[in-house]
Amino acid sequence: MNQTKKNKEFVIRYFNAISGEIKSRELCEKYINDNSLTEHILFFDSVFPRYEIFIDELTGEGNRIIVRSRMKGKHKGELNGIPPTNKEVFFPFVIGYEIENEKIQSHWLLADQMMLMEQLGVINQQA
Amino acid sequence: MNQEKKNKEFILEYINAISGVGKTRELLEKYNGDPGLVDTIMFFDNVFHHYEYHIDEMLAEGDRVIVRARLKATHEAEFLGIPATHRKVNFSFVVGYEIQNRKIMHSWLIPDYLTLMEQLKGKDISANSQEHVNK
Repeated sequence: MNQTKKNKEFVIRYFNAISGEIKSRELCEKYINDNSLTEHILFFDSVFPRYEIFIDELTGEGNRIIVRSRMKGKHKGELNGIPPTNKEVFFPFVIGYEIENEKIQSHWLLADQMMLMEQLGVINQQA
Repeated sequence: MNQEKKNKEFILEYINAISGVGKTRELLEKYNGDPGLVDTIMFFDNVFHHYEYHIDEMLAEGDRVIVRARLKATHEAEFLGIPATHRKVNFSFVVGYEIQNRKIMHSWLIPDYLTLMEQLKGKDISANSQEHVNK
């Protein structure tokens, strides 16, 4: 099996393991060797407890994988000064990983923050 | 030459053709069969005149190419209710293309709007607010 295929299967296993679950440091570190990503996930799971993630598209090349996906959660903790609204959010994000030996070694992340802010009722975006 | 390599070369050619110049419908339609994308680019090119498109990363698989990049320009027209500030902006975006016969047939796009909005409010553009981008 080639490297890209292995890395894709790893990413699918990782998404399945954390989606909808409590994301503890121990669970994250089974898959992640990038502390900034673990910290980010722990923070988001405190804001949106047990948030779910859904894969829309997986693209791989060499040791890199890019995942286009969506996140679903309920806003229960403070986010950038916004107190909990208890609103449900469901927005797209894209994340890129560098994977070595079945672990994420580095990442970048871009989320559709406009949609998130709109769903939290912070901004009123014109269509 | 395999499909992925051809598609990457096509996307490089496309980016070089549109970066830093006026993005007319005629120019865009040479490469684009996705009317939504043509409209989006023309809208952004009006707000950020002749914006430059800098590639940070490119991945290809099958008929798809994904580009992580930055848009560099000056803010010259109203954007989301903010009138022209003439400030320089430099923000990330990720775009996915589906390519058939040397044309972009479908696309998706996620810009780093939070960084862009901060830059329009005058935040130093050398400081990247996308703190989770760690490379």
